[in-house]
Amino acid sequence: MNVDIQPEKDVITVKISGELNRQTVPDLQDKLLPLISTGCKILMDMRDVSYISSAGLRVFLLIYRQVDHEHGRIVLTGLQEMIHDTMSITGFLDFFQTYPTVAEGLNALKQPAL
Amino acid sequence: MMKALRVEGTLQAIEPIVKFAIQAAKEAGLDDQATFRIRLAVDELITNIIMHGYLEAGRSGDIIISSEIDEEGLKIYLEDYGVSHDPRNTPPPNLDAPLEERPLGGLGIYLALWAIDQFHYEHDRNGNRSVLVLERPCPSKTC
Repeated sequence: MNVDIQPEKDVITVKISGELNRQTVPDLQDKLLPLISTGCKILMDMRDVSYISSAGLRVFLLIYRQVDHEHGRIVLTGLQEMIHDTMSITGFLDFFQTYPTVAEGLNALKQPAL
Repeated sequence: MMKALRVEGTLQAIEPIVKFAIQAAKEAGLDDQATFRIRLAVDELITNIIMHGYLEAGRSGDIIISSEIDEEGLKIYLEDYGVSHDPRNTPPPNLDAPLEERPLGGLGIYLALWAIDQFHYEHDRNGNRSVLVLERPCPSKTC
């Protein structure tokens, strides 16, 4: 798994690649949680994530809670089909906004919150 | 032909067991989606066996994974000697709860059973045995 963080002035873009499982997610958690601050906007580019298990979902749950607590916003982009299905069946997509492309995700974050 | 791998039931066992399952999926000719599904189920179930069946219970023992391809599809067998627990008796997670209120655990078994087509479980004094089945995609439009 690889995490590439691009902190722009308005939006922090995080490109994750590889597999999110029990072995790799502690690193993801350590890198992502410190990025969350009051009113932050985070885009997670997921197009190169090929696998996620419940351990990966647990990190998304922690991130969601922290972002929510800080009144920030987070969007996910480019979910592969099985990642989408796994997050959908567990109800995560009722909470996370998802977009097909990074451009659409950035555009959504520029709009006022719903 | 049946293939098998026997490893000690510790957290280090997850990686070789998952690799075994991916290789079995490849040999069965499963596509990426089906490979993802069997991998997810094996990953979650084996993690559960190691965490709850062995480590938390203070037990030790081996885990055996084996695979078989037949006309029905791919079958993966998981055998262990830890505490017996039929995953189907795990209480389902409350998927309607807001994420703020969700407990951090409980999704793994739910995902595992969702991912595969059939699940069988049996235990006796010799150990526990789970059978995971991923059915072969229908080769013609007649079935």
